[in-house]
Parts: sequence; C-alpha cells; structure tokens
Amino acid sequence: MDRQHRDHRLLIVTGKGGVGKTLLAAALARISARQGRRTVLVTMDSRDDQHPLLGVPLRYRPQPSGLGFDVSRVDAFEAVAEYARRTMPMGLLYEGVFRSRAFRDFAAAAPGFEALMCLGKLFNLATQTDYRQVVFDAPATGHLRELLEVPAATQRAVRVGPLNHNARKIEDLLLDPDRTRVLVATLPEEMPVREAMETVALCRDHWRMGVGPVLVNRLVTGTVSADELSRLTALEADGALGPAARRAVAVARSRQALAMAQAAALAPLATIGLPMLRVPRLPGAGVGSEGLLDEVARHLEPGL
Amino acid sequence: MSRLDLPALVRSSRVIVCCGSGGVGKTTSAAALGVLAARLGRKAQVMTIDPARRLAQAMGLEALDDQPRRVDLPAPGELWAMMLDTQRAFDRLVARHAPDAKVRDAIYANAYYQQLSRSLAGSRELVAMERVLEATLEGDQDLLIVDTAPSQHALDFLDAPGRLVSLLDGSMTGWLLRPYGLAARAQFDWFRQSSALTLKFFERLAGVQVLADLSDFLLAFSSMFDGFRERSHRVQALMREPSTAFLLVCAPEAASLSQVDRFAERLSGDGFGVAGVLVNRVHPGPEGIDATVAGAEQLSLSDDDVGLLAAAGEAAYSDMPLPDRLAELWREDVLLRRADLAALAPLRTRDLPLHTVPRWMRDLHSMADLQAFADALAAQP
Repeated sequence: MDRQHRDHRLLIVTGKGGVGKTLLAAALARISARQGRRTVLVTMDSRDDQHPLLGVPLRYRPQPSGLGFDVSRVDAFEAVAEYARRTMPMGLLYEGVFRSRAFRDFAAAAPGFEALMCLGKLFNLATQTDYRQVVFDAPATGHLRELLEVPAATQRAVRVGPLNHNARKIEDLLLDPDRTRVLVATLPEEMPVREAMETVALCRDHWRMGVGPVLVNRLVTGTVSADELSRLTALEADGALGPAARRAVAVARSRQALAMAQAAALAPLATIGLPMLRVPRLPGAGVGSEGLLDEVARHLEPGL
Repeated sequence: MSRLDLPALVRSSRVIVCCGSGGVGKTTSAAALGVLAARLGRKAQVMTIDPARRLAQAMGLEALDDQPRRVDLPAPGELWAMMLDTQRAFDRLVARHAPDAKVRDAIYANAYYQQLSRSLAGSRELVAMERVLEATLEGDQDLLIVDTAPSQHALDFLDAPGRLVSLLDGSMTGWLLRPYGLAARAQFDWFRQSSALTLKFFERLAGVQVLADLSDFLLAFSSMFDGFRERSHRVQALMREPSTAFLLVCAPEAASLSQVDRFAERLSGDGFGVAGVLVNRVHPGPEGIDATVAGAEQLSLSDDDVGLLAAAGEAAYSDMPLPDRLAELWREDVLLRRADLAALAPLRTRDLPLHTVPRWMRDLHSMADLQAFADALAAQP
C-alpha cells in the first residue's frame, strides 16, 4: 500500500448487488488489520445477528471477529439513540422515546433521517475512536447514490443547528480524498460493469471523491490456447477420444467461452483510467473462512 | 425437498411476486417467467420497480415506462411489460384520492411531499403495491409478475406501505395536525407524552421548518387518508389471496441463501403463500458427472487419451502439459459444482419446493436469451 492509501480512514466498498462486496470488504479489513491498523468492518441496514460471511455476532457495538478486526452493524435507531445521548441536554430523558412506535414511524418516514444517522455513526467510528481504518461494506450503487445526497440535502433543508453542522462534517469526510476512498467492486459481466462505471462517474466525476482501484471478482482465465482447443475439437470429431477425455474437452471449451465473455465484458472498464485488482473465482467463495479471506487478500494486497 | 413446478405455477397464479436480494437474476427471472406464461397461452404482464431499467434491455425493448408495452413474442399468449415511475405513480395516487384540485396542488407543492415521493425508502414500494392493485382491478392480464426492488430488506415492499399508513394514522398525525406548537401541551398519558417528546426531539434535531412542512403535508393529506388506507388494506388482502404466489429468487451464495430462509419464515408466518425457491446461477459442472461423489474431481484418462491430448498441446503456450491443464480445469469445475450444491444443502432440508437454473456463460439481454431462460425454468431435472 502506498502511504496515501494507508492513511484513509474510511474505505467505502460498493458495487452492484451480488458481486461479492461483503467478501471483498472483509478481505480488505483483513489486510488492514494484518498491516497493524486497528480496523472495523461495518455493514449497514443489516437485520442479521450474524455476519453473513464470517459467522461472527453482528451488533451495533463493534465485536471482535477473531480475524484481527472488529465487525459492527450500523443501525439507524441505535445511531439516533447514541446521537441523542451525546448531543441532547438531558439525553436520557429521551431514552424511552426511541423505543416508542411514534418515534419509529416518524424516523422511518422522515426522508434521509435514518441515512444521515447511519452516516453519522460511520463518521464517529472513522474520526472519534481509535480505529485507524473503517471498511464500510456499503449498499449497492442505487442506494449509495441516495446516501451520498443526504448530507447536502440535510444542509439545504436545515439551515442552522446541530444537524446542519454534523451534516457538513460528514460531507467533509466523505468528499475528502485524503481520508475517504471508494472502491468499486464488480464481476466480469456486462451489467455489473455498467453499474461500476456509473458508480465511478458518480463518486469520482460528480462528487470528486477519491476513487481507488476497481475490484474485479470471480475472474476465470483460459488455460488452453485457441489452437489447442481447435486441435482437441478435431480429435473429438474423429472419435479418437475416450468418454472422460471428451468430457474434459467440453469443460475446457466452456471455460474458454467464459473467459472470453468475461474479457469482453471487462473491456469498457479500460476507458475509465482506474487500475483493476483481479480476484479469481474460488470454489467455496460463498462459505466464509479464514483461508478464503486470506486467499482473496493475497490477490488484492499487491495492488492496493 | 420437492420440485418447484414453474409451468404449473404460472398457469394457476394471478399474481407472482419475485423477491430476493440484488444480483441474483431476479429481474431476468421475472421476465423469463413472463415468457413461459405467454408460451402457455396466458396473457402475462411483468412489472418491475427496479429503477435500473434492466427489464427493458432483457426484453429487447428500447425503454420501459409507466404504461404496459407489448413485447414482440411468437407465443399463444401475450407478454406485456412495464416499469414503475415512482414520482408519477405517487402523483397519480394523490390525484386519485385528493378531494379537489386545490388539495392536490397543495400536496404537490409541499416540500415534504417532494422529498417523500422521490426518496423515502418505501415510497417506491408503496406505489408499486398500489400499481399492483390497480393492475389487478383494472388490467385485463391473466397473470401479473412483480419484480421487487433489490434491497437489503427485500421485504420492505410489504412493510413500507404499512409504515407510511401508520405514520399517517398514528399518534404523530394527531399532534402534527394541530397547529404546530400546541402539541407541546402534553397530556399525561404515556403514549402522548412520548409523542410530544418525540416531536421535541425532532424539533431540536431537524428544526421547526421540517416539522411545519410535515404538518402542512399531513393536514392536506388527511382529507384523502381514508381512501389511502382503504387501498392499503386491499393490497394486503390481495397479497394474501391463494392465487397470489411469492417466489423467492436466490443464488448459491451465502448472503443470498441466508436471506431466503428468513424470507420464507417471515412470509409464511404472516400468511403469505410461498410457492418455492428459484435458485439461479448454479454452476453446472461437467456433464453427466455427480460432483458430490468423492473422487469425482479426479479426471481419470486412459493412457491412449493422455498420449493424444499431450500431442495436441503447445509447449510454447504453457509449461504444463495439456493433459495436466485439462485435469486442473476439471478439478476446478467439479469443485465449483460441489461448492454450489453444498451451499444449497441447507435449503434442501427445508420443506420448500426448489428449482435450479444453471449459471449462464454471459449476461442475458436478448429475447433469444430470455427464451433459453424460459426453457430452463420449464426443464425437468
């Protein structure tokens, strides 16, 4: 990692749903921790009591993952309660309020309010604790777009007071390329690539945020050349191969087709001028384990 | 574990709601189900509330909008598609229930309404459900296939309308409907006291203007509230009808699968009919090979085969002899298949009908691709 990267307090990992953000974010947290930084991996909006990949308890208060970093789930209600306790005179008076139905309905219906509170918690973790890096397993692009609007929208709607002040500080952190970096994850497939490019345009070109390498997940490579494949096809057509060899040729052919389709899908990314970090498709990538995280980390680390 | 018979499902249902997390092929699955239904002679309409406009591409249409468009498809039935425009649908909802043009325009002009109808998590879901009801009552389709928005909380579309209605109906409304400020004269009953505290809290946090906007909005909205609530209850009833089926769409990945369990539990617990689980993107593995058998990952070639394959290899391309490379590819292929099947194992122990569709080698974005997908939906295992 270059010096600049090391100093980022907040890494935002985003991308289309299903691209493996959660795994990549966990691997980044693992790398950060191994490099000696106190690190917390944060998910948002999760109602899970367990991290879906790591299988460790997921709470609002950061919990150790056993992998060198902590994990936490940012939850709007907890964030509001904490915020109030910190900032309101007689904060405890409001304790019962947060649990009330009226409050929940109101908070749920006030546009952007929950999102602002969640961003506030991220801000707090990144700047007012002894964590040196917060890895944010962020929502997919559409939701991220709304999330990034929230601090500015809040400042427009609320001209004075603590909410305005805090919204500005949150925005300052998010837009500061020295403190925050966005990492966009994608699969080597057309729609995720398109969405990744939209996200880069949103974060780098619209918001002028610091945007890091694009993380390409589940990449396959062809290990048989086109010439070899055509010779194998000829052998097959001659009836020269046994059943096992014929099946093996079919596997190689479909792998080759996939590798070519993936390369074609990735081609547009070359135009955005960001380096790519490639993670191969790993069997068992759905099942979290230390070994898997380290395997992913091994592919990411040299490029960070 | 039983098999999910999708042709029977599209024949017998009037509404199919596809739910699941993002990136599992939900939108494409909904479109392919529509193709399957049209093939079986039904007049199907697919409705997406996904703002990413993927459905149009999948159906070979230039664009989709708020109005149903007929998809060009040679089939005994018909396929129609539409996309939800949240702002317009919300405006229409207001127009439908507003007692007069004055109230309607007051609502349109309200700052809170403008925010609410655009960005409130749940407003999309609310109008989607409203549109589902409208289509069911007024449309002439036999089957409506609803593609829900991808979200962490993929069941928000069920909760959100209720949340909004309970906001409008609840104690907050009572407080805010009085001229703002009088509300602080709290009465002593606990619930009201908590409402007053909530207001005070928000006032400190958000400023008086926000509350004043909200108060204006609710005041204007209150005149149409009965109509609004009545529609919301009808949606809830429609969703629980026996001819409404919920289809859980997922991929063999930890995050997606862990949701399916909870969705199924939550849906059936709340009296919704869960038809089953559609698992997309299952790695096919080598043809005719049972990847679960121990040792299946070892490619056993005859000596003759090894000789022929080795001779076909190019030393200039790779240091590794071709038979070894093929064996390595084979191993990976079997292990990927095995991993996917293992990931699905917990699902199989549940009493949920299941149908799996293989991973495609490419993104699906033409009608021919959708036809192939529909074939896979109808295929017998």
